[in-house]
Amino acid sequence: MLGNDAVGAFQWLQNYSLGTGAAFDGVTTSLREGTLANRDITWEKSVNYNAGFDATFWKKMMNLKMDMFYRHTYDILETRIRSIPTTFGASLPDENYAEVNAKGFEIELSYNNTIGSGANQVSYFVSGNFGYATNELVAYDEAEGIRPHLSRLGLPIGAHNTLGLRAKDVLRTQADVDALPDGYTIYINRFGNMAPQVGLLDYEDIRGTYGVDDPDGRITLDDQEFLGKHVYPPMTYGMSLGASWKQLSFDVLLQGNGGHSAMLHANARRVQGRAEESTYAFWADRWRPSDPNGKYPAALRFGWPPTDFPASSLFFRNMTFLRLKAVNLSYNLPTDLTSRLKIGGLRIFYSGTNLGLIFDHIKDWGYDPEMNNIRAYPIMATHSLGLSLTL
Amino acid sequence: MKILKLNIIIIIILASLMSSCEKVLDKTNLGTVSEDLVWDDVNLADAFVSRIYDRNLPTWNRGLSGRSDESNGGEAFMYGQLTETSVNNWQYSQIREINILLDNIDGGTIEQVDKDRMKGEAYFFRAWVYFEMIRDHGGVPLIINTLTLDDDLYPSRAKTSEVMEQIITDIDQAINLLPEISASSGSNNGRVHKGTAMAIKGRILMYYASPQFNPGQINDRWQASYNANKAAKDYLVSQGFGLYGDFPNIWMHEMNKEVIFVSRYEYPLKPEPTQWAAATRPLDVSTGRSGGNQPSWEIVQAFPMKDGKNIEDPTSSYIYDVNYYWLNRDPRFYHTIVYNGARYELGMEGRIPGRIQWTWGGSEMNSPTQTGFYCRKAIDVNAAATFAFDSNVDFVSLRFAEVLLNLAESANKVGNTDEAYEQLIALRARAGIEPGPNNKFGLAEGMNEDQMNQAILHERQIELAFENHRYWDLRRNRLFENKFNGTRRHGLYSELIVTANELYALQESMSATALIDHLSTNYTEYFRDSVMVIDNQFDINWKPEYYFYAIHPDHIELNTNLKQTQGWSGGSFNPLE
Repeated sequence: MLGNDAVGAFQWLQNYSLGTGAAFDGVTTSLREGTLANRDITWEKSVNYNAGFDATFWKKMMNLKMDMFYRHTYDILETRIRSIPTTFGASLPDENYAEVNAKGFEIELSYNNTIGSGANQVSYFVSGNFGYATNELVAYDEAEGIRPHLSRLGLPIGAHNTLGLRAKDVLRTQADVDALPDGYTIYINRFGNMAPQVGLLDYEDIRGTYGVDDPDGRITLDDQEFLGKHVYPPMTYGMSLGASWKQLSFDVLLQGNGGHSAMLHANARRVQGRAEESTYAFWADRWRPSDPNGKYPAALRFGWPPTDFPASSLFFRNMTFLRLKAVNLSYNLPTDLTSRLKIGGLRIFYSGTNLGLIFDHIKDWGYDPEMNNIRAYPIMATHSLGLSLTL
Repeated sequence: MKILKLNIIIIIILASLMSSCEKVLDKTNLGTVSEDLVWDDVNLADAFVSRIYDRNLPTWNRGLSGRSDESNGGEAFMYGQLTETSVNNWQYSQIREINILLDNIDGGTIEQVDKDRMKGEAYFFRAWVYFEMIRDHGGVPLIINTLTLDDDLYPSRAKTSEVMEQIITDIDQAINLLPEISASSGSNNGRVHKGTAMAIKGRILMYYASPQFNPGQINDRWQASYNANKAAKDYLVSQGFGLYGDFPNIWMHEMNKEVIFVSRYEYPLKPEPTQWAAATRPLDVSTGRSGGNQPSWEIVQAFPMKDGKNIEDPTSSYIYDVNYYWLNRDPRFYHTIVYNGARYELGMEGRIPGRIQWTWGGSEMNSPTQTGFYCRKAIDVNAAATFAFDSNVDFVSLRFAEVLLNLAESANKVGNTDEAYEQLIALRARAGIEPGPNNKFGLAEGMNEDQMNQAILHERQIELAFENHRYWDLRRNRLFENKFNGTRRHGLYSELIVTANELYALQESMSATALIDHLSTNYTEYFRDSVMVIDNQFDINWKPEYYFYAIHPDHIELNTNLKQTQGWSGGSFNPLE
């Protein structure tokens, strides 16, 4: 069992703190009730269970490693903002409240061998690894009357970041607009809704405001759902292989992770926020009178913020990928050649990292799924060519 | 400014000394004050009260004039676009602090006179905060004790009438407990006093008698409102309060005898927090904010002529000429409205004597006025732009003039039309309107109740223009739909018909006074004015459910005992009960 005591100090004690108050003839000092005391505060704890298995077969040519874990973390400190009604009025302390279960496993299998013998011997290796780890919130600060579609219990940490509208299609023609019910409005931005018009993106009308659980004829943020489960990749995998023959050797590393999804960053969902800003290239494929089949909705302006498209399934993608992480190639000059040149040895090599994605699902957005988001600094590829001389 | 009271420091030091003989690991938090000290020390308790003032004193609201015919703006309100989440007046953190004081102060050792005053202040603000909440939402949960986590934390909404009963109980307690302070005394420094509580009681009861809460017009409510406002006026007069003779300086001469309920500001520790002045000034002579409180053509026209007769009244001794709309108007017009060619001596660095404000199209470099006008009420012309942003002009949220107007309205409703006349005449006389041959200052003679009611509402519109009243007056009288729906508000566009160089050469050639004089007969040689629409996109479309706003669905999600207000999605709570 492990503990974590990174907790704000003095939360067990009820205190009042001084500040600037009202002005009468001169500004006065004010005193306020501090955060409510939690006399029972303690640290957070976790219980871990691990099991592992290592084996080698076939004269050590085959290696197998397996690991499993289960971790129950409880008494996690959290402020109960949602589970205490808003009429209570005090600011609440951290309480030992939340619980998370995590579990996962990892397998690694490797094989190495040689073919042939003598000078023409080729030695090679292949190894692959696969890991799966996930977690779920068991206890968490949630409102008494939380709408079921917003509850995070039973879901992995971060699942709420997949909240978004379910996009239908762009309203491509006036007939599409006319087919919508009377009085139908579409969410534009936090300032309000708009009557449908050609070029707008339509969404699924799932429910209304709190207490209205049937479609209400207007698209609002109440129609949002969790569009996915994992924002952190539950799966990690990799593969490396290599071989050497005579003076030549090469190896390759493939790496990736998957099973998670992400919402496109808000800035990429915005079409030219300011005159001095540009727009991401994929927006070229948008609805226009001249191109009514564009994938993305029209770039209409509705004041500030301009054309800020809300989170929706149109901008939500699977982030699984496999990357060619590294390639190494080297050649050692044969010894008869080096001795003739009167040097100890000479090696020529190439090594490259981050050489490209074997597969991913966001090529059209033009960024790398391993990046945090579209605005993050891209992952750099490196190519090194070298000569190593031993005298 | 006063220095932090020495006692507080001593207590903090003592507290830390006392704890120093304890065990090494039992640390004391030196940055805070322990709970058990607060109610035994008058300075700490006073600091607690200061916090209650600081959080609950009203402030200027830059958005309110737009939610009426005073100005442009107020979009979601004016165009019927509000949702359940739009208005969220939910001040339970403030209520909790007030309840803490009321629950604990009697157990402390502070002297009774201080206890009484502080309790009076707490009762005053509890009434004030609950009134603010029910004015927006109708009945809300009634919490009058400090809740602990062991209490029932899931209240239902109390009926509007039940909250109102508590408000009156509290404000009566405040009236009994608060000190009597006269206008000229040194203790009239911005704290609430008995007279403040009486005046606020009058305002609250008048709202409660108004059609918003009282669509059936139960007359008892008007009688109660009359009694409270009459008592407030008589008491305030006995303490030396009254109309201040110098209308534009009500806001500049701090704590004059007209100031009843005030939020005070000081630079640099306590500047006005909403930057009202910066937003209201033309951006060419302001900084950090703009676009607030630009007067509509409607409010410009609402001001009567110098003899108190309306602009279209043929019996006025002044002829209203729309091309020269600013001539011969009620003096309050000049203290409220800045028009194209008016003297407005603002500057980035401070007052610029003789400065003329131009609003003709193209004259302003930064964010020109949307309506053709600016509001100058409560704007300190001596202040540099940065001191408009961090202004120290107090916000007078209730002044004696309003007591007279509240009294006039209530008196008229209970049949005392003469008493209503008296109040309006007092205001018009102070404004400098000509008395006329019948000493009625332009008011029509022999008005019936309805006509008088209209006259009072009109007087409020001009006397209290841009003081955060018009929106509430329209709303409590349920006037929005009938008066405005399907219409749009207007501004005035001034087109320069000579070249700018010619105009500026003219301005160079004479003094400001001479130029103003010249324009009062030759304006049309330089400008062509036309009325323009300032609601560019939509007609005004106020919804009937806006007389009681929805409560935010978040509160219901956290406590399903709360019911939504009728008229809103899923609403079943009747705010009229």
